[in-house]
Amino acid sequence: MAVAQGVKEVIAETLSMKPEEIDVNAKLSEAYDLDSTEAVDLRVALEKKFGIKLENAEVAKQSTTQDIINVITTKSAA
Amino acid sequence: MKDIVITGMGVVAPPGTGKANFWRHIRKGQSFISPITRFDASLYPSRLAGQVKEIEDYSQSFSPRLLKKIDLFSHLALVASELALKDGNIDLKDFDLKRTGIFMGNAIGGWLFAETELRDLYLEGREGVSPFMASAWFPAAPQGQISIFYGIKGYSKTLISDRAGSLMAIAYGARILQNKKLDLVLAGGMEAPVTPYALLCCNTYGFLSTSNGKPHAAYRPFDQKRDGFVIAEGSGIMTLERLEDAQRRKAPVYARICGFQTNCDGYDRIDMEPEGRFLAKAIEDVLKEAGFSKDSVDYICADGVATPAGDISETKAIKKVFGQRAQEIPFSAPKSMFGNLLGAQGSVDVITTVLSMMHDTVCPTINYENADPECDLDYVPNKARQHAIKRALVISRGRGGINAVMALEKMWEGPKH
Repeated sequence: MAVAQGVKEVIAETLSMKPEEIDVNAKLSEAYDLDSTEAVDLRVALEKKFGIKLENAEVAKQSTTQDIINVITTKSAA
Repeated sequence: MKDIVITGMGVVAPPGTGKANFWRHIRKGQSFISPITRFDASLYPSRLAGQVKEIEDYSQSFSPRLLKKIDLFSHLALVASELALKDGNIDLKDFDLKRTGIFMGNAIGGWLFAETELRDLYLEGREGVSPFMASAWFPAAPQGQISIFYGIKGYSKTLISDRAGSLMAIAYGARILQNKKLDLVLAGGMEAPVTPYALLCCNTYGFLSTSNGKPHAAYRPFDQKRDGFVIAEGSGIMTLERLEDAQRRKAPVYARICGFQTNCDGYDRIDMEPEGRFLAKAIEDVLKEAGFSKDSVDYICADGVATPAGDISETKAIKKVFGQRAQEIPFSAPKSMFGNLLGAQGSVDVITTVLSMMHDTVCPTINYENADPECDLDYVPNKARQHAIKRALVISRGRGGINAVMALEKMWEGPKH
């Protein structure tokens, strides 16, 4: 739950939105027009927030918020 | 150059944003220069600037998501572009965006963004640097941001030529319009030098006033006690069209760009050639191109760099070209009120000159108190003056001996507003 909320907060900050406005099942590029540079910015912000390393492919334009929550939940548990 | 006209003007500058606001303040002859407050500048030899204070009030069209990715100099340019398009009654849906171009001048780049990222690079390593750095700092970034925001896709360029950059950009945009490669041009410049590193570079340049104790009196072109200019931030952008196109859409037609010439002193990496011989040649060449007789020039907007050599060589160039009539032509540096916008100064000088034509009023050179025997022209000291202007010249100069001169002719026949 904490991971989900944290991811939503970071994505919302990147997109200048409110966390509650994020649809976790929407593809970030399609729903919010996330571009490739913003995806890099988002990956770095998530790495800082959760203290883990993420690959570019794990936080990509075509990712959904839920995809990212799943990756970070798995990596945080490892 | 024939029948290329200015149809919209957008200005963001220390005296005010928008042409009416800007004009209302600069006609009063007061100073808008103040100590730098954005960061601690207390150890810099020159720590004054003309600073824009109200940019957020004019930024409703631009999302916070966009603004956090770009530097201040792109932000200034976007606001000035929006103001110019509105002023020119231009809805871009009525234009072919593949035949719309952008011509911008800049000298410094986007250091407000870049400096903090470079700090993070050294403190945190490469992962500490924002990925937006790559597209935020470089001098052509504002051109890119304007093109993306409006979907403009035509032939476009950014010109780097120190303080002459935006005057050159306007001229090149006008020439491309004349060649009928484009139908509409956004032209001008932007600068945001009030940052720690940019201010350091400007200080080492050696041309800045160190009269920090008297901010309002620091920038004093042509005055015997001058000690250099003061930097400023802002943007001046205008829309250019062919006269026939502007008339067809019943656009406001402010002024015609009649000629532009540029050359180099070939003398020194910083100082101007002391006799002003090559500036004089550029003026002669532009008069010839524009078809202006020497008797027909009503006003000259000076470069007014406020260094001993700069002001004397500029004065000598005017006297060399105009002879005895040089004393009769109002020759002022309105930028003395708000600072020198470096790469954006030429475009702000063009807007100031066009507003002066529209209002039959010459804006002054302020802080002119002590006559210099070597600077003995009519600098319109301290107070604006009623004076009809049909034809005018605008001078921009830059380090390394760059000389640039534009000839303008009034077209505006509407009310003074």
